[in-house]
Order: sequence, then C-alpha cells, then structure tokens
Amino acid sequence: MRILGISCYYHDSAACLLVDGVVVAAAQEERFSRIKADARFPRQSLRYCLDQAGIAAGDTIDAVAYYDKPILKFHRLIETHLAIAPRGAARFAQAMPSWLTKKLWIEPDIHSELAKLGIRTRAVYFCEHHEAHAASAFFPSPFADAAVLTLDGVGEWATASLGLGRGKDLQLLETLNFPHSLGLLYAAFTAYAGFKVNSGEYKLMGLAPYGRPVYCDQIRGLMDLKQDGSFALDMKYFGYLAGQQMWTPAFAHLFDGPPRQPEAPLQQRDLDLARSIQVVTEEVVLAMAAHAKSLTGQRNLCLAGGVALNCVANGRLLRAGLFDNLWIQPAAGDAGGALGAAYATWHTVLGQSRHADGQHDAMQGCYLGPEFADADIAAWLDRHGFPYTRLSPQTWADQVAELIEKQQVVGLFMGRMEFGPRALGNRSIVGDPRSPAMQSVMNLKIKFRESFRPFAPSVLEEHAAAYFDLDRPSPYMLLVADVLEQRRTPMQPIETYVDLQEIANAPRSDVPAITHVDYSARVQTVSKETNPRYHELISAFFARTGCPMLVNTSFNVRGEPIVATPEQAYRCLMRTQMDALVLGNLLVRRDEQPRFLQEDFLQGPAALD
Amino acid sequence: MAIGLQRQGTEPLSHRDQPVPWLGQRLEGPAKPPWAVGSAWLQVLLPLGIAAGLALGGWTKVSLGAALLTGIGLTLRFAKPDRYAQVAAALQALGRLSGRAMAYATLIPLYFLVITPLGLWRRQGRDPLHRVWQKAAPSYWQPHASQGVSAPEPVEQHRHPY
Repeated sequence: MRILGISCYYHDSAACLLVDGVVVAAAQEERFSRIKADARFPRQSLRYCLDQAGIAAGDTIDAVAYYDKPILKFHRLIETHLAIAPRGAARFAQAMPSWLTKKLWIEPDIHSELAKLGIRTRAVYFCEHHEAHAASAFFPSPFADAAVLTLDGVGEWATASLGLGRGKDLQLLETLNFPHSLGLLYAAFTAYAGFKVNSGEYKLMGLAPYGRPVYCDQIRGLMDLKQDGSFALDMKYFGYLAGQQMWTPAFAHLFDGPPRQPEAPLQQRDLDLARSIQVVTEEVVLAMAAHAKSLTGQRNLCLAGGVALNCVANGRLLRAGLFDNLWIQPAAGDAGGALGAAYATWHTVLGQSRHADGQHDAMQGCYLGPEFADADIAAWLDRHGFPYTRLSPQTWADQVAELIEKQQVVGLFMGRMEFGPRALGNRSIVGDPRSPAMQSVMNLKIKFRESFRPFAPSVLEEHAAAYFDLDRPSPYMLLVADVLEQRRTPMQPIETYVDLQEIANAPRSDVPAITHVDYSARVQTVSKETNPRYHELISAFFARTGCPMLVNTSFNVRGEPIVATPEQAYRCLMRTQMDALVLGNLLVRRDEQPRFLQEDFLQGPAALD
Repeated sequence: MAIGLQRQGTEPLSHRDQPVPWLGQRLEGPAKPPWAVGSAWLQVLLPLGIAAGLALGGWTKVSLGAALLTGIGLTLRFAKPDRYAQVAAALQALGRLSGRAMAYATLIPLYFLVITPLGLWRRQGRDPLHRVWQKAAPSYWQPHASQGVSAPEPVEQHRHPY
C-alpha cells in the first residue's frame, strides 16, 4: 500500500512516500527548485518520490495525505480579521487571493498535479497540522508508548499540543491556541534582531551564548505564564495579527529602541535579547514537558514542530531528567508534516499496526533523498572536461582524511540526501575541529555567513562520551551538550573581547572549531550502522590524528538550500574556497580545475538569508 | 545563474546542462517541438477566434489589430520559442501585477464595508481571540476538539479539509 504525504503553501514544502508503512523517500522541494524554504506545490520532490518507488504513469496510489486542514486555517484567518478590523486591511487583501485561488482547493490541486504525471489516487486525506507534527514525532520513534509535545508558530488554531501515543494509536489531549504561540514569540525576537523569520531562528539561538539574560523579566512580562507551561501573550506588543511586522512600537519601547536592521553590526542589546528569549523559551518548554509528564505519566517524550529544532532547549530538557528518553523528529518543521500526515493515514485512518523495538527509529538515519551513481557523475565530469581522481573503496577514507588533516575543507556528496534541515554527512562540508581558525575560515570563506555562527561536530558514537557530557546517541544533531571540563581551555570574560570575531577565534577547547563560547556543542553522533561510509571517514581521521570527530556543516552557501545534485555540489566547490569535493567515489580538487573556471564561478555576493 | 562557460572540447556549463539523473529517475524524452504542444494551438486559436468575432461584429480595425498580434505571437511561438518564453514571462508578470492591483481595489473596500462592521458587531462585549488574560484560570491549555486522531470515526474526520 502506497501513501504519499504532502506539505506545501506555507513554507518548506515537501513530499514523502510510505510503502506498506515504511518511508521509502522524502525530500523538500527547495532542494530541487533552489528556492530556500520553497512553499510551492512540491512537484519535483513528488516526482522524485514516485521515481524512487518505481511508480510510473498509469499507476494508482492508494492515498495522498495533506498535512493540514485548509478550511480550519481559513476560518482562523477570517476570525482574526473579524477580531481586529478595521486594522489589517492590507494584510487581508494580500492574503486572500492566494487563499481563494489555491490554498482552499488542495484536493483538486493534488488530483491535477498527479494527473500531469499520469498518476491517480484513490483518496485524499487531511490531517490537522499539529496532528501531523505529533504523528511525525511518535510513529517513527523507537517508543511503543510516549508523551508527545508539538510546538510551532501556528497550524489551524493550535500553536502547541500535548498528546499520548500508544502502539498504533495517537491521541491529542490538549492544545494551546492562536494567537498565543511560543514559535511566534521567538519569531518576533528573530525579526527584531534583524534576521528573517523562518530561517533566522538558528542564528538567534547561536547568538544567545554571547549575551546576558538581562531582558528575561521584561519578556516574562509579555506573557501570563501558568505553572503547566501554558501562557497567553500580551498582544499589544505583537503585530502579527494585523500587520506585516511581528512587533509593535510598544515592543520596541520595552526593549530600548528600534529593531536592528538586517546586516547592521550586532550590538550588545541584540546579544542580550537573544540570550534572554532563549532562557524564557527553555523555561516554557520545560514547564510544558513537565505538564505532559504529569498528564500522561509516560517515561518517553517525542517532540516535533519548528520549536523542536531549538537544540539548546532540547539539550536542557534532556538534562532536566523529566523523561528517561527523548526523541525528536529530525524534520521537525513543516517539511516533516508531510511525513506525519502519511504516517497518520497509515496507522490511524487505515488502522495498520505498528512495531517499535525501543531502540531503533524508522527514519533510516534521515537519508531519504536522491542518490547518484558514480558512473553518471563521472560521465558528467568527463563531458565537461573537469579533472577528477577515482578513489579506491579501500583507501578513499584515508585519502580524504589526509586532506582534512592538512587543514583542507572538503565537501562530501555521497549516498542519499538527508531529509530535514540538517546535513548529516552525505551533503556536508567537513573540516578539522582541532584548528582554532577553522570556524572563521568556514564561516567567512566557505559559507559566506556571519562569523559568530558555531559549527557542529560529527563524532564517532563510541567516542562521544570522551568529549561531551552526553550519555546517549544524538544522530540527528538535535541535542546540545557541554564539552567536558577536562577538554576546555579557559576563556577571558566575554566583555573583554573587542568583537564577536575575536571571541569566535579565541580557543575554547582542544576541539575549538566546534566548541561554542559557552562550551556547548550541537552534537551529531555517527554510528557504523546508520552511515557506514561517514563512520569510515571519521574513523580514518581518528586513526591519523587521535581526534574522533569532524566539523560538519551543511553543503551550501548562505542563502541557498543544501545541494541536491552533483552539478550543484561542483558549483559550490568552485564558488567558495573549499579545497576538494568527494562525489561518491570520485575526488575533485579545486586547484586542479581550470583557472578560468575558478574565476568565472567566483562571482557576486551570496544572497542574504 | 547562467554561467555560460565555453572551452574548446567541452560543453558549456549552464542551467540548460543535461543534469545527472538520480538513481531510478525516469528520464523525460526530448522536448516536443512547439507545434506538437496542444496548448500552443489553443494560444493561437483563442485570439484568432476573438478576432473573427470582432470582425463579425463590425469591429474591423480592432479585429485586424487582434489578428496582427496573433500573427506576431504565432511567429514567435513557433519560430523563436526562446523569445516567446521571455514575452510570455513578461506578460505573466504584468498579469500578476494587475491581478494584485485588482485584488487590492476589490478587497480593501470589501474589508471596510463588510468585514469591519461585521467584526465590530460580533465583538461587542466578546473576546473572540481570547486576548484578555485569565489571571484566575489555572491553565490556558484547551482540550483538543476532536480528542485526537484516534476518535471513533477517524476516516471520516480525515476525509474533510475541515
């Protein structure tokens, strides 16, 4: 039985395919369209999913599952405007055409898009937005029973939900409703700090350790927070009901002046706001999790929704010890909603059973995207006359590890592409974590992004405990853990540094490139079972250097989605100062490429994100 | 980004480059010639039909203008498909712009004439979005309306977009 899951029209559209309850393919549309957070119908990712399962023109799919209920969402839009009119006219006029022509007609749209590919479907099902998130968190998790907590900006009405999963049953118990939203609160601060909503939240989180929590009381004053983590926001400070801005003049007055303009230098106030909102977010998440525990009595917790990508809060939740086990959907944002909708259809609508062994999740390491054959890549390189070396399967890891040991930055393009926002070794740029300069080099010369942003380590699972205060695997880079005391290098107080660049360059541990200023790291543990090839590379680096980890950052430049094809990877190599590119079993060195290619590719600044 | 690299003995690298197929990808055949695309003929016949209608109605000059535009469109569509695509994209952009202008012109009066009075009337003494803090209430959590996806009739629930 084949079920197609779809999410689209808001941000991060995606498609996935379940065959007899097993996810065989999943991908975000942005990877194919090259438009970051592309919200359009996921035509290309849908085509990929069908190809992956060998579904061709003339075939019939058993069901298509959509990740929200558009009419409920439309109802919320109308109710909101009725509640705020006469304010909000411009927003109404802007939003309504797309609703009337597109977003309300999901079912005919799905039939029409499938018909273009010659495919038919027997049924289309709709899942509530937070049900889709909850299903994406619980059904693929390793747990037979678990509490489920979902948190994001807003779905139809819900902005957060608490649920209980038991076997193949999933029940949402309580919701927190619009306009009171933790995701939108965080987004308001993201926008206020001069970053883009829906993409700049990572930056705000990365900025937090540089600041002081001096605005916590003001932020707590914006909300009526109950003991069980539920809250109401004081809407006089937030502009998202009526206007295009997330905040109001009262908000700016409360936080000492106008917002930071995009790309303006960061001031101490921006750093302090980042730290303060992070602290309050963690308080709310912890209180909600405690309520989920008391409501369900479960020992396991599953998380999803955009706020679940806040790995600092996740790490704090883990250390709080409220739950014995925590599992977070790696595609926790809206892209994962496609997966959740498909799972909800399989288990809940169709009543199919579920098996969970308590150890292994059903995400297959999140390697659910397309992969490419060496022969096809080589043919493409040959056609263009681009020099490359063929790597031997026996020695490839050592050859690449040697480059990394020589402080070279290497792009990895191998195996199936990751689903979700994280690059987990198959579409990654890697470097030596022991180098104090690596963070700056990778930020400024490879990624063209802000110097303060930290990088994550990919560490061999069996060696993680030797470096990090982490007692369990973190395969999806969704947990932040502290670097162990004995590995740290004492830093001067942050106030004594001239700027963020100087702080970023200051050594903090014996793996400085992945140690953030608060001695934390966003850890990815790599196991032989899930990604043997990446494990082999890190092991080779370990054998050479005694360091069982690599710096891992996503294979893209600022403002662009992660690369999906060998051509995009090659372009990225030539546009940046990356040194080499591993394309399957082929090695492309930048300095061997024709000089005129290097000059032609180095053009224009990176797009802002 | 059309890189447009040229080197003797190699093909240019641009977005028109034949991409590397992913494993299992069903490759599309070569693109159909313009005259073999059904919608192309529709794009030609529709304005021709309008021109004919105008001619029959006595609007000869307008009809000739429409026929002339059709002729230009026809020539571009079949002889210079690349140029036609540029013109079509420009026309689409113009259409989107005028559509947005029309939407604003229609929806903003609607907002003030219908939504605003209705909204003002509906919220007399009410707080439909629950914006006022309930200081005495122990919680803002609400029981989930359908009590979850495992309600008695989940199939029916999931069939509706509401």
